[in-house]
Amino acid sequence: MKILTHNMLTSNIIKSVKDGYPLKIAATEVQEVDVDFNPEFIQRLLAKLNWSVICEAITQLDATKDIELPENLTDEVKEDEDMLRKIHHVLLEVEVIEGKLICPETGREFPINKGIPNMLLNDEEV
Amino acid sequence: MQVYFSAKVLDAHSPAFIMCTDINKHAANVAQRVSQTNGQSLEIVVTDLVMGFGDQISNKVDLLIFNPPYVVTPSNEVGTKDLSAAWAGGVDGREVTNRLLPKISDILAEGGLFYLVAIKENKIEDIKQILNKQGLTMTVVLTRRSGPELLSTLRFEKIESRVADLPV
Repeated sequence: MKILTHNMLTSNIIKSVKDGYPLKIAATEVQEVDVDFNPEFIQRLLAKLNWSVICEAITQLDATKDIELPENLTDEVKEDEDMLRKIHHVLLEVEVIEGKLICPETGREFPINKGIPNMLLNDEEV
Repeated sequence: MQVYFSAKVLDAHSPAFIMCTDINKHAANVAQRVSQTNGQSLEIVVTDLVMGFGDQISNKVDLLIFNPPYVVTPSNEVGTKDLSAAWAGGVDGREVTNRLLPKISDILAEGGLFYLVAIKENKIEDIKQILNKQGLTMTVVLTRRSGPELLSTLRFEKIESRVADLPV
């Protein structure tokens, strides 16, 4: 599961949960991969994600917790190739292989195995 | 398999972020192995349709592809997480598809496309009406017979909203 994917996931699917976003990440195995860098693509992605959740997510992984990201996505940031490379790395090159996603409201855990999060609910939770 | 193939085709043209879902974790694992063996990276989530994807995908998806369980079966065969989830579509083969259709317009970005596989028994005209009401136009891209099935690939496009003529 890449950090970009985590950006889209919520536990608001559980019956009574209202505050299920963002999910907390607890990783036991993380891998870093190489993905081709395309600055225009990263710029387009930036428009589609929740930036503050990205900044929060990276603090939860050892592989990314020391990476500094700007608080705001200014035009200057979006044009800075070095910054875009850093963002590219964080969004696409860091993968949680084993671990879990945790509902911030109920503590309910969604397992991540082989890089694949499992969001399926039990009958009582739907 | 088809997920990996679509990803390979898309990526050849320009970079794309591709996400797949499957209700069966074994299918998900296999999809991932196929793509990894072939040097492709796929993000996969085990879930029921798009459950778990919140507001973050609203109006964000440029291309949505759905190969649903479309076979006409008794309703009680629908909704399992085992192998029959791959084909069991219930009444008119539409029970699973019907749960995704109301969300299409919300998921797609402006100009976004939705591709759906359907057989004749799925009442394609009815699917067209449902999505027309959400502002999506349908094109039948391809029709082909495969054994007993007459399959069609349907493409739905989110049309630009038009300013209505104002009364004088």
